[in-house]
Amino acid sequence: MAGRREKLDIIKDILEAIRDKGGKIKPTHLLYKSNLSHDSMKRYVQELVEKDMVQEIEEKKENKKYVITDKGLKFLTDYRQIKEFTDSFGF
Amino acid sequence: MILVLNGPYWFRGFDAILGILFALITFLIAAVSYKAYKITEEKKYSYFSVSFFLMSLAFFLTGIFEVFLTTHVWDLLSQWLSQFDLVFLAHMLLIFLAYVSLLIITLKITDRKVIALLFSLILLFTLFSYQYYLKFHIISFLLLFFLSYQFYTNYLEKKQFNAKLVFIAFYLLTCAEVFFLAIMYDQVLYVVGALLQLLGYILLFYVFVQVVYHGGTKRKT
Repeated sequence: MAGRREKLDIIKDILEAIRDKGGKIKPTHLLYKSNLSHDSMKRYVQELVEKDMVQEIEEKKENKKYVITDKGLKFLTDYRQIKEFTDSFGF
Repeated sequence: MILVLNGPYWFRGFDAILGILFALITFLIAAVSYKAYKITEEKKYSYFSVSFFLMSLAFFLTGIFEVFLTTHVWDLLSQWLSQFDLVFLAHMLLIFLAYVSLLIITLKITDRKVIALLFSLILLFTLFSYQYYLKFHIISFLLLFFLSYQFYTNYLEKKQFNAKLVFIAFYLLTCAEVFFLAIMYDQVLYVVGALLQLLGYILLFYVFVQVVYHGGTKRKT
């Protein structure tokens, strides 16, 4: 069984899920992809919106979507560097 | 006695350059870790950054001082500092603090009592010490040996190319200490030690380049 994900990994998983869907995703799809409870997902997405990594848009009425921003994409690049750095030194 | 200057006379200029080169490499690694800290806000990255920054400071200090001594610039200051072996003592303390911090981070020691004990021992070893050169290299050898073993364990766990390079780099730094200790038999052994150290730091620089420019690209071991 995989170990408990760290906050950094959860944020990466959320951003990757949005990016892999062409940069835009429905909340229901994100809930399924991120493997989180509804409340946890809302909390994390809210934090990402506050940090300008994700934007919330409404294309039609009752059709909310999350969009990854440039800052969110930059985080994914930095994440890979940090992960590689951490794994290299094992801490 | 000027403890900063060791090895054959002809090697002293090169030794100063190596010191400054090691200072630059360790500073770059400290900078990457600091960047990781700014992004993640996780304290372990800031501690890692501090330990490499301490190494950088130690090498910069001795490197610059060796330049003063070998070029006879600022002779008065050099004589005064060397009279009390201040530069070597500072180098010793900074390197010990850096290695112990690295051990604490890589071994994931969280017990504050153990951390306090380790730092107290290091301070005592440095402040109440004689035969500085011998003690410095024996303790450095021990600390680097444990660090190498930890990086080897990490390599076995992760099976990543960079993890292997980090282990080899620290293994070379550990071997270098043996040659530094053996200079009582032949001064040329100091040069061998310095070259092993150079190889070790070149490998660490290569890891830095891999992380910064190719971070995330999968490579086989």
